Amino acid sequence: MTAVAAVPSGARRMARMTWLRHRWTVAAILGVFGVATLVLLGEGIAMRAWLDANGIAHCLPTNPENRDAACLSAESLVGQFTAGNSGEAAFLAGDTAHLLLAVPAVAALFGGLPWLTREFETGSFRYTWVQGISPRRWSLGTFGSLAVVAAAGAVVLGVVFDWWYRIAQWPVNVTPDMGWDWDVFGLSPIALVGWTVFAFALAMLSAAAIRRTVPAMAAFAASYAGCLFLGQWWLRPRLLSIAPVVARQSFGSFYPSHWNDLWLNGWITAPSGHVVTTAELLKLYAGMGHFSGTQGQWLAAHHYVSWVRYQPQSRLVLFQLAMALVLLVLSASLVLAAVRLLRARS
Amino acid sequence: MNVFEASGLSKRYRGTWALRDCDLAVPAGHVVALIGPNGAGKTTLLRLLAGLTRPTAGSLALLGGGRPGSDAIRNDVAYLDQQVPFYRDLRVRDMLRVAGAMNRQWDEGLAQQRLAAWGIPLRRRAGKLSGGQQALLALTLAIARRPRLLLLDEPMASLDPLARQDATGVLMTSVAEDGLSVVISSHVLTELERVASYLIVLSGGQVQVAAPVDSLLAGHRALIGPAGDADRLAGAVPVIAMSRAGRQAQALARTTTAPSGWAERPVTMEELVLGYLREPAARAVSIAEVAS
Repeated sequence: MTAVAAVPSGARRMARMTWLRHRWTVAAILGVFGVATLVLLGEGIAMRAWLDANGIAHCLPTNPENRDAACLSAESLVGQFTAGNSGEAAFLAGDTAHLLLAVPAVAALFGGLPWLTREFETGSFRYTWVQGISPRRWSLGTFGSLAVVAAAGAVVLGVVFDWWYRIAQWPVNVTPDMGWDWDVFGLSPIALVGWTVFAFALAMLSAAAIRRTVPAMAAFAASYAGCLFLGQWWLRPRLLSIAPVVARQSFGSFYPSHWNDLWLNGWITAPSGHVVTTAELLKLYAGMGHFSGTQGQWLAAHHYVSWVRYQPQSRLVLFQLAMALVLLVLSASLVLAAVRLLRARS
Repeated sequence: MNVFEASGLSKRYRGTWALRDCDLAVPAGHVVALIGPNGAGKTTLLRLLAGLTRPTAGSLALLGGGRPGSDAIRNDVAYLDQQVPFYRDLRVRDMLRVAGAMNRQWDEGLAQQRLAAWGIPLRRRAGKLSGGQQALLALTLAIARRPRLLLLDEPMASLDPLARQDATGVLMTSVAEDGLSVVISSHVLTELERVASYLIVLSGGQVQVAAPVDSLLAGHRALIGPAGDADRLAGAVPVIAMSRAGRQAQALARTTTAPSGWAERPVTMEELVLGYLREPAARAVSIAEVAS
């Protein structure tokens, strides 16, 4: 008999196995994120160079308070850069953001899910489970390695998107609550990591439950789309309405406190303290007579008060973290369910 | 030391008992033949031993007290599933590297030596090998881990006679040189007869026979006598199975001597196993009973 080689234990063994087994999958995942990142980089660099060449780069970042006459007159020119008018620039910024929300799903769908399905379909995971690596380590090795690589890709894509979006959406007028919008909120590096890990966890569960590549891909695509919809249109608004700031706001002011605060809702109270309805407000405006100022000035002169409920810009990162945390907890549950399912069927 | 001990071991799948109340204590160093009809619970017992599934009731301890599938004994137990599940898209050499990376002990030299002897090309993808070559590769991957307990579920089914003989030889060498214990499930009785030193017969999810082969063969006789005396024979010695052909009857009995009027001869393992399989009600033969 020949000598037995002692193989390094623990993480090193797992890392080596993961590399040997998953290197092409890792390459595919990085490829998906890499292509999206490179497209944004190329576009952004070209736009930035154009802004520099036209002497209007100082208009960035997209802060309405930075805008001087040169910036305003240049907006139409920036629109021409993209496709000839600002409408197409809007398409570029907005719809690119919508498309990019699908990148985690595409990476999981083509980078991770087919490989996972093959693993479960052929039963090769059973081979691994009776080697020196425990099912727990195997789960970490397969899901963890893919999710970590994808999450790294998501961070890079999120950072580049943030930079790109500040340039690309500039010509199509300012969105005061930039960063809070459903699509941009989901593409911040933090939230994007949450969605990416969630996509891979959902892919793992789909693969473990169905064990056939094409049906598992279809089930994953449908369920991810549903979860994305619920996350963006049900969960996000509820998160953003937690513990808002309520403050007085001067009539005519466009922003609660900072140009990037999230305005939730506002109302006006009468000198008696009761909330003025829209009908009452219209009646008041009708009684302004020959008052020379604005409606806001008239209301202020008559001791009406404007209130606003909002989330300060400083909380944006906290809410993105909260969203990512919810998604990571859901991901952990999905992976646990997948491993239990496999154990029950093995 | 017992290579495994089971007490009241039971496993249920969706309302059906695959194993029920199994008590076993198998000493180390044996090649254990695990035999039974389809659905008897052989694969379930092997998967329980491998830690791939957990018992519904009862206890199971390996290699002196370890829990199947636990980190403490994971590196000491190798399991070869009848479906030979490994990474078919990998080349053989990469499969060796993956197996080496996954185990604390790995005998690369032994693996290379076996594959070369069996003519399995290292550059070919595992999935492109013939069924027999895949079985030999899987066996190589299991043995190169240098386990203390090797669990084999129908490992030779796809092998040609020559490869089967080679594989058996490799197994026996490991048993002799390394003190390896093997549990091998197979329907090919002649193949098991050559290598097994311990026999477990399962029937309907319960243990029918569990004892060393030598003790069992020494404690059983084939009795040949007049068919008319067959009923009286059952009162004189414990009869496991009886067959009649014309005026003559042949019985498998748990005895060492023949009653008057009956001729006796030693039984083969195949006769013993078939006798028990024909009579599932004939219950477990313990080591103590056989020895007495």
